Amino acid sequence: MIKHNLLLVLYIVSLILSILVGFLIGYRSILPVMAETHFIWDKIPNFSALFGFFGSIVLLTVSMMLKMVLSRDEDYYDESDDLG
Amino acid sequence: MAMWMHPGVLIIIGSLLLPVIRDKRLKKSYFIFLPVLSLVLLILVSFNLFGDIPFTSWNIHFLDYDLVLCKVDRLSMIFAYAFTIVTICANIYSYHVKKDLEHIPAMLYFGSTLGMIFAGDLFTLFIFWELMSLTALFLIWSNKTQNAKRAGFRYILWHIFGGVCLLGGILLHLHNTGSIDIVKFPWGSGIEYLSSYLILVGFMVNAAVPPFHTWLTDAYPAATVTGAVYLSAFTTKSAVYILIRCFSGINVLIWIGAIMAIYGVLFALIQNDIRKMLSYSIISQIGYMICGIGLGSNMAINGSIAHAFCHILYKSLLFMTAGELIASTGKTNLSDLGGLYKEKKATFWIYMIGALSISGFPLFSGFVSKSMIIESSAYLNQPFVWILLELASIGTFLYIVLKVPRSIWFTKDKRPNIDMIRSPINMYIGMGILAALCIIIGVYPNLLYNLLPYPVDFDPYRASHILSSVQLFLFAFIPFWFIRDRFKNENKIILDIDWFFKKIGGGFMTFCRSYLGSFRDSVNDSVSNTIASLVYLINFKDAKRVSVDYYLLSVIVLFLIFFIYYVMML
Repeated sequence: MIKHNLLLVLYIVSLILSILVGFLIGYRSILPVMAETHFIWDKIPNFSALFGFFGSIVLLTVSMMLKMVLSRDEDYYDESDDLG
Repeated sequence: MAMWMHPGVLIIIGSLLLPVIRDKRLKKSYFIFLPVLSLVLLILVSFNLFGDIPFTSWNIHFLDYDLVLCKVDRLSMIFAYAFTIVTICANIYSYHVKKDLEHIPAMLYFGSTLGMIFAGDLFTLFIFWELMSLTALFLIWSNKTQNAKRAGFRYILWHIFGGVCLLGGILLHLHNTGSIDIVKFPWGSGIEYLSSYLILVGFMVNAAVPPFHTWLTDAYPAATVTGAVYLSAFTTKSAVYILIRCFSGINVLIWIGAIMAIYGVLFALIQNDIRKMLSYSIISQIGYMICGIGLGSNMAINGSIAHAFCHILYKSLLFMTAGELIASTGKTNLSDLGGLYKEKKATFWIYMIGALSISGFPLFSGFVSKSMIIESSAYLNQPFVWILLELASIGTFLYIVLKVPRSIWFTKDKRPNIDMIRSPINMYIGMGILAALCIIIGVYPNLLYNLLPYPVDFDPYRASHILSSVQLFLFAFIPFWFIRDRFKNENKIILDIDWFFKKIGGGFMTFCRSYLGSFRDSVNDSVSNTIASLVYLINFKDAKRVSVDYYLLSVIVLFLIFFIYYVMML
């Protein structure tokens, strides 16, 4: 249990640290070569964090919906499939 | 200058000697020696022992054409290296297997892949292309289950379709241009580009581009534990190779690739069979490569090649770990596994190396290759492609780093009550080498970048890039953790495009058997009876008695024949 809590604390610390570092270095602008921004959202600091969070929600929702629509019982194909 | 030896032909001939060797230990050593020999050959080629790269050799004049069996350049060399390295590891991994009927197709498959990679003209390409499908079929069939048999049939049907498209395209191209060189095919819209379209479809079947992808998710989970490792490496990546050569920079491929990447991810997220999930994962990763090919800039092409190289290594590694689990537990579904961390610690850590590589975590191989493709999409100003590819990255992380380890090694309450078989040490050696390579490439990306055909002006280890990848994954973890229990594995199958083929095809077969069958029977009866009546009319003695109906029918037929004869005489 202690191990579990330690992991959780470590995780939260790394979350906060990454956000702080993100604000510090100004996302995608640490090197002069890469300083140009490709898209509008590159100007938002910590955009990756937002993208990761919401992207994950979108993917999980869509895949669960797909699963609801597309899942069938194991023997679904057994009747029609009589090859071999 | 020394005489060049084609490694593919060498392997094909060499593998035919396998069944002749009686001594078991010698046979096993020879089995590992074959791909090592190929690696030695490739290294000698790299040292320009056979001539400066690029060069061609083994030119054969056949009918009116000059066949070039061997064309070596930087592009073919890097793919040949990847295939050879992975075959060495796969052979070590399957060292304990005592089935010649599995080893021989595997080695023939490897040899024909090398043959295809080095092919210098379209005919040679086509021959090795077909040989690959055929040998892969026997590799699938070496698993003697009913499921493998059926999946094998479906596999070869798809590849016959692809092969026929390719052959048709090649012949049309030959008719239009008179040349069988492997070149970048002309592209545009209109019927005059039909040859290019057909060839592209042929290649796309092998690259498992949806909707031509179901052979992959069907056959790879049905193969043997060791056979699936070879299957996961060769067919799709050799298709990527040939797409790079012939169709780079075609806009439609950008979108095909990006959609494929997200399609594979969405389906992989909801699979229950481990190897089926990994198969969808292949589709997703091939999507990145095809997107890179479509983008077509030097950096994107470099990215596709680098990603193919890394993918061959880490996907085989993941198939190996999955195979090890399946072999020792006898279970293939995530829903039947759980809480194995204590027994399967080594497999867990090796798996995690592969998993972090595929999701592109810093210090692992996927990080240095995948980001090249994603960055190229940013350089070429394709925001939607960038979003789709980044989303696919998140999805990959979700299923391969979070969902699978949680289902297999943790969740103690689901631990199956089974006795596990100890896996032989050679399995771990094979996996270990690949895992080490994944880390080495991740830490020293220049080793890989130096092999690429175009000069690389790309540094993956920029602070901002590292930070953005880490943030992406750290924050993707939060929603997953909240719904982790609702996102459970169930013993269900997930429908895919093959529903159409299975249901409509099955319906068509039923129609043929019942309706068309009875129709054929009735036609058969009436024809035979009519003929019997005709015989009766002409020769009373030999014929059997027939009914009045058929007597009348035959009179009408005779009348019609005379009538037609009369009309034609006019």
